Amino acid sequence: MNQQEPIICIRDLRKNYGSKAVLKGIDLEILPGEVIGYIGPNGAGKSTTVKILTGLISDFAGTITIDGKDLRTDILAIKAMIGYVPENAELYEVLTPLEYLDFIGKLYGMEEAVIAARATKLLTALGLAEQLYKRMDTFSKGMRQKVLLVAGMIHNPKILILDEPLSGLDANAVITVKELIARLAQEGKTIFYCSHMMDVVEKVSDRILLINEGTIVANGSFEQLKQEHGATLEHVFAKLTGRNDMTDGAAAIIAAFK
Amino acid sequence: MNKLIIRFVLLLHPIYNRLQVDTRQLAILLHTKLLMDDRRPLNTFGNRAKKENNYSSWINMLLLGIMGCVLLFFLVLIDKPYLSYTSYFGAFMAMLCLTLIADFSVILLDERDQYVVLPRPVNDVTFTLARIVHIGISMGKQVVGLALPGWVYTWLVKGWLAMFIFVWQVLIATIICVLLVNLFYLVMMRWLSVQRFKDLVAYLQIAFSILIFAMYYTVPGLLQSALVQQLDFKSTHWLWVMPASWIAAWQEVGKGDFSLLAITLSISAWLLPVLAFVFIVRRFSKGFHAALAGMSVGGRNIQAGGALPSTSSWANRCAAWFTREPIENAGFKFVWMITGRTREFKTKVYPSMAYVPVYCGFLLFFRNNGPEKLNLEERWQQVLDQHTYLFVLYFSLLTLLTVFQFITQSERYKAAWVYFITPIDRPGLLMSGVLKAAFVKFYLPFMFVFTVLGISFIGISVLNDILLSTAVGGIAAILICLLTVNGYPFSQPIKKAEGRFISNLLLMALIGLIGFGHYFAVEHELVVWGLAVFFCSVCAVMLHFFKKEKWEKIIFNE
Repeated sequence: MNQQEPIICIRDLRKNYGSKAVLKGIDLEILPGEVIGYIGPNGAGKSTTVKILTGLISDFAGTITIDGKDLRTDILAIKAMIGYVPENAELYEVLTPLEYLDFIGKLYGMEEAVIAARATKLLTALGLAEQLYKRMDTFSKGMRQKVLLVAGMIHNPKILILDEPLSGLDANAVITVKELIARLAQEGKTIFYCSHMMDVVEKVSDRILLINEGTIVANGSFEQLKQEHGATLEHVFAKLTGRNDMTDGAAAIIAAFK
Repeated sequence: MNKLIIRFVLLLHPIYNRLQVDTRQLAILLHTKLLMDDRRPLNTFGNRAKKENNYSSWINMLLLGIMGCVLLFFLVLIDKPYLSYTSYFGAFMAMLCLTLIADFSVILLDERDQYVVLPRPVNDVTFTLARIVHIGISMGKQVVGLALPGWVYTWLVKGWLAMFIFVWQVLIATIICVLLVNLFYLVMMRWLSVQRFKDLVAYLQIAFSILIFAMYYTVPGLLQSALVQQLDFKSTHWLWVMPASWIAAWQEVGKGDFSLLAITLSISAWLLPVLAFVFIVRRFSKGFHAALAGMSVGGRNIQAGGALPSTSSWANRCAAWFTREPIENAGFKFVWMITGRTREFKTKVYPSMAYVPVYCGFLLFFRNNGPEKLNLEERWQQVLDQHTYLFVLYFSLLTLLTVFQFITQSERYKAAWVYFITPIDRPGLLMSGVLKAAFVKFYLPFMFVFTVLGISFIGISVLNDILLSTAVGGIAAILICLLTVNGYPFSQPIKKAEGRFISNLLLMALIGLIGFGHYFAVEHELVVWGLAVFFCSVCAVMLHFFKKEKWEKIIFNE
């Protein structure tokens, strides 16, 4: 067991939407520098967990401490140390990347000159050097996703929460981001990585958490999960989420045309 | 009703079959397009209907009917029939062109066709015909709405023959409008990107609402003026080159005027749509379709080559002048840039800004001041003597109400997650940037213009009036923002303004009260200076506390 203090500590996290329980008591500890792969089927509670961690949802039961600070009482300090890249590339696209990042950076209390210099370097590194001064309404989904990635990192956060960060990215950018995740972890950043892309989760994560119907059903490194449940992460996923019948589903679709 | 229209269209199925049109596909394409039209948000007068409705195109037709009633001014108030129909069809065509440009943009620039219809096995003839018939039906609804009041009036006042001629005239006017709109589209699509073109359409929508507003207030006065009443059509040669006068000539011919002028103009009116039709068929089906097909890709490429938007440098400069802290600066620049680049905001707010000069012009110069008919010079003297220019200073504050009503709303409201994941410890500072941007961008320009005009036409003595009204404007802006804004800028879905009627009414009453106080004190220069200094101080104190406001009413809307 690692002797380090956990940077994220979740105890009995519960959340209901009306009468429907979405999170049913999650307990979790994440260490500094860990890359956590957070996977689960649609509606399992992944997005709700992320929204709670990022402060978007405040009415939940249980306790969460991040870097020793309580999420309920120290929300601003916690927000300052988290970078978030959402799944959907929703941004104010009538702005240019630099204008958008200037806005975001200032919300984090950064100085204009620092934001401009860092944003330029990060965007250039992700291949957007030519697009710095162009309005984002002309951008492809991948280009917008790159801007969101930069927006998540602009303030150099301790913790990075990535929700499907590779969505829409081209192959080169995917390689860059995967490499980036590894480097950031080496730098001591904690990464909470939500995705449906099992092969990527397999490769980038130190530890994989599988959530199903509001509870964590698997927690361990890929090697551990493989030994316990199956040869690939897809098999582990299908077995633990009770969706072994996916091949039957495909057969049913083919049968519908006959 | 749509089913009936489609059945009517399909009566020509033998012709369609000969043209290799798939009538089943044509019917379903028309059905779906008309269904989508009926569910489209209304944007007439720059306002969108906030709740869902299933009868948009019919409501739009009704609204155009109301505009058609406004056009009746021309027929009722001008005594000379030739001139009255020339003015009527001039205004009719201007309105129809503007409506068609705005409405065509939604129909023609709908990129969904590229993804939904074109990849399916629909042949080109069916696709093109569906598009043309759809445009025809949409246009038909608009034309009927706009022309119906004039048609009824002509029937009741001028008789049966005039009524039938009126239908013919409307048909000619419509075809000419289609030609003009097509020309506009062909030219614009050649030179502008989709983005710029849509911006232009938004500005035309704004121009349209302003035109209606200006017409409503100024046309009756203008038509009754001696200038118009003494205008003689037959001796005013410049009127002859207007297509509206060619169309109007048909009524003269109908009344038995077979003079060379009436016959020539009538024939011109008949020839123009024929030529227009040939031009439309040739250009519409070729250049237009080709341009449209490449629009979604081409538009992006053209736009991507653009330079840094010009609003950015202005935003930076003004933000540096008016804000100190980074977060306030961020709010200022954000609002400045987004308000200048978002179509839906512009179509809602810009008309209200334009209404200010129109309405002020009406009140100062066109309003009926009593039994004595004053000329413009005498009216201006009256404005100076009675200090009614003060009204203009306070009236422009109403723009701020509109700005703050829409400043929180956006089609891109989902992008507002950034506010809630960032550590905004002093939301009051951010909102102070928002407030200052709105005030500087949407109110100070009026004050600047009033200052220049005031000093030029009234003299330096007007400065204290402007300073006092600006200070009152600052206080009003703070109050409006505090009472009506309940979200970060552009963070909420577009919805109906609820529960603001009373607060808006109270604010207007307060502004009116201060305005009246100003009016009664205006003769005493020192008192006005004193009040100006007092209200400036109050404004500064209020702004200080505004920056400390917690804005706890703002919550994240999942």
